[in-house]
Amino acid sequence: MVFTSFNFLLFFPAVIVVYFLLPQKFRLVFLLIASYYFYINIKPVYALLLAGITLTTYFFAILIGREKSEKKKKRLLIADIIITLLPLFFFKYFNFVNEGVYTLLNYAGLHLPLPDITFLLPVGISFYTFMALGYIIDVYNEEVETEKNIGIVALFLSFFPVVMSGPIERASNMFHQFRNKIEFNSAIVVKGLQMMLWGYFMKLALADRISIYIDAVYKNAEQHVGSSLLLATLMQPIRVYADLGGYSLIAIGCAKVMGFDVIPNFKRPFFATTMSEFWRRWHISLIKWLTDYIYTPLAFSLRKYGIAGIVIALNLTFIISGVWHGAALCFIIWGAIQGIALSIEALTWKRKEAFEKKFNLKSKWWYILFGCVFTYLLFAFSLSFGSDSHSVPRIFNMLGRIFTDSFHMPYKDGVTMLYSFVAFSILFIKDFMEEYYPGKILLFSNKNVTVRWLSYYCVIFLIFYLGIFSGEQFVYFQF
Amino acid sequence: MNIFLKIKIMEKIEIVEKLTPVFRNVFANNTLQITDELSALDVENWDSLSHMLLIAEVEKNFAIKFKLKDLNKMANVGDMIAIINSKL
Amino acid sequence: MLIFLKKLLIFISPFIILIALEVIIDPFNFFSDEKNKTQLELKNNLARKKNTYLYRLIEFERNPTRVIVLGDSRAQRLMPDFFEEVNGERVVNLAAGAGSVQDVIKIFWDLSAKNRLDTVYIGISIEGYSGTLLKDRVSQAIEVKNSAPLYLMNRFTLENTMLILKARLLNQDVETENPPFSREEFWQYELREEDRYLRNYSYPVNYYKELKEISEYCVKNNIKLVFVISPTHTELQQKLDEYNLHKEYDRFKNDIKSFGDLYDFNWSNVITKNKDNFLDPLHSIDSVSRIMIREMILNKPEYAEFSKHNPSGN
Repeated sequence: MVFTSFNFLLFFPAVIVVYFLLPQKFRLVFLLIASYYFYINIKPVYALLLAGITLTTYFFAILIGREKSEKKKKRLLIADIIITLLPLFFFKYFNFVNEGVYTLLNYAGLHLPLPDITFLLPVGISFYTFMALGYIIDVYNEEVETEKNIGIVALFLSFFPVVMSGPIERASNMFHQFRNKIEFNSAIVVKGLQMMLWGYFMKLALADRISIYIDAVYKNAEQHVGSSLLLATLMQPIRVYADLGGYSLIAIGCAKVMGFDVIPNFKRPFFATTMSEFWRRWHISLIKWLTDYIYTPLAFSLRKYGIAGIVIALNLTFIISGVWHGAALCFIIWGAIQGIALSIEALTWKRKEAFEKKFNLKSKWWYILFGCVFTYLLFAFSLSFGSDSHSVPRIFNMLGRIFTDSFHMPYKDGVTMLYSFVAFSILFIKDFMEEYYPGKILLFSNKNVTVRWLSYYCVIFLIFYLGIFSGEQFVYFQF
Repeated sequence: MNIFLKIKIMEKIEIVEKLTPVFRNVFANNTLQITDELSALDVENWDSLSHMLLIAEVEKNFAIKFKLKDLNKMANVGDMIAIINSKL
Repeated sequence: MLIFLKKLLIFISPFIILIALEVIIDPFNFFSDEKNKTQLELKNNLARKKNTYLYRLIEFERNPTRVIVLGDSRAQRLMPDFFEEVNGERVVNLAAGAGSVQDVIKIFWDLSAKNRLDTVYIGISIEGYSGTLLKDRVSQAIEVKNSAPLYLMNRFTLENTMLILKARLLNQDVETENPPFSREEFWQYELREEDRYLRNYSYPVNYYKELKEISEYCVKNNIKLVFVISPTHTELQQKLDEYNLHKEYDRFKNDIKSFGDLYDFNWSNVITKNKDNFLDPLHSIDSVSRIMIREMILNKPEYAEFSKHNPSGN
């Protein structure tokens, strides 16, 4: 089930009530059952896969923990990594690699019919695979102690708030929390509910709404004029932020209600003045994972090459990030763009520092604005490589038309644009205040209960008024 | 004062003396003072990128080699000094 | 924990009241038929006008007929009463203003899935059969009418519940809005709108495919599929010359003929040359509708160019 389904709206309160009524010693088992119920509701067969990965991870961790020989430990680690990655590779990348191999063979004059297997991607596999890998690598590095309790490992990998779309959590953060004694604390529960409320606002009122416009344009890109394509491209970061950010917030809030602190995933990304800063605010859990488990080991082994080593490590890491998002060339290009941008920043930061210090630029509001806008534009354009079509030539064609098409009025969908604008303004103002004037205006955290309740009612009203509830709204091109 | 303690303190002071210019160079800050508690949170421009450059510079300057595991054990400069010390 | 639960209950009580109101007033008759006359009139003036598809689709489900009419505002003028006058057959008209071919397709599949249909009349035109006019306003209505929670959480349900409640409490009469234009102004406005449609015309590959699917389904399931091109005033018809769309128009008609029977009333004749037969260049008056229906039911085409369904095309 998804967070925005009626099933979840029934499931969640039920789980919470039982959770707090149960004595502490039964709570984890209950959460494990609830999490598997949640997951099975998506597709039963794939729960078996999740259980399988859980078992292998658990057992390999025990073996590595017991093993004294460094060499044997490494072999066990590599074995587990391969086993854990196999399903992900199979479901996500098989066809992609297949096609690549097929094309290469074709060039060589060999026409072998290769099997084409299309499976539906098991939900959450990219997320729990990474979490499982993180745990086993941590055990190998002695960052985390081997977990003897298989229930805790199982709960960690299936924990229903995060199993579907993250944030990607760590054993070091979650294991000890699972062991904590949780008392019902209304302040914490309220905080969690507030996060969920805001997450629902972002997802339903903004993301799903603005998607109507973006999808209408992108799904029919050939029929739309350059200015419409430009508008849709500029809206994309907002959509992804509201979508993934909103969803993450619901997940984090959900965990918070149960007394667990999950790593945040977004931190007002549009106020970043450089791409490096942007990636400290966007999809934080993913970047942290990639940094700790891919970038750092890579950069460390390349450190004798100085800045060149860093550049290579950066680009490889972000290409892997692109590949993680999807099995297509366009995602690789997206990753490469991030890598290149960050490399350029790494190579030039000292000169930039000096320049900024000379003219005291960092304190000038227009300089900050310029940085934010530039970063936003760069990211917006890179996102077009993640758009629907997945066809790189089509994407380039579309980008070209943004610049070469003579100006026509862009496609107009009055209601969608107005509602999206309202929703985005609200989100933007909130983020802006939090970024530059924290604590100045408090609505959700106001001391006065009337103000708080009024804010809740307002947000709920806005969700119903601006939000999209029915599954899909097909609005195609209308001149 | 115990002579071993004296040597330990001396070594630490020497390490700090040698380390300070490395930090100042990597982070482009000529007035940076390093303390035991100093960490990435306190220094502008100290991120995972510059951290690697810092590590490479420290290794060069002290003629030592870190292990990947050591990186994870360095929460602040104090930890780093202790690890450097253990390798000298 | 109990204090918290008490506070929570107080917090959600307004929502419970709202939902209760929605269930009681039930602006779209989701839960039950509306028996009260005053209430029904209010619903007709409010919910039925504001969210016409949702209202009428539910209405149809409560009282299905075997003959339906789909299409846009022109098809809307083929009133059920006029059908009954000719042969007593009960007909439901599910056409709506600005209804697109996409709407027609979605409604057809939704209704044919659960109801036995004998005849389907589809009002079609070159303006609608265009690749640049793909708006879908029906899908949402279909989803809502099939789901109680969606119905209760729908903005339209809430809005109309409040409006009906307000009208009841204040004992108001809900008036139908009068158009702000004079007849002549509106006439010219419609002509200009037509310019917009024709200027942006493109061949609808997707509609061809989807209507073909519907046509094949009707043949297989013994449903009579009748297309009707309503008459427009010659001033409007002439615009085809202006935009040089005769080839496209012929292709459009040939496509339609391959899907089903076609009654084309839209050519230059005594009816279409006379402004008195029209409310505006696109919409003819009731007496014309009566003539059209009579000709179609009795298959006595006089003012219509009739073409029998020719699946092989042309």
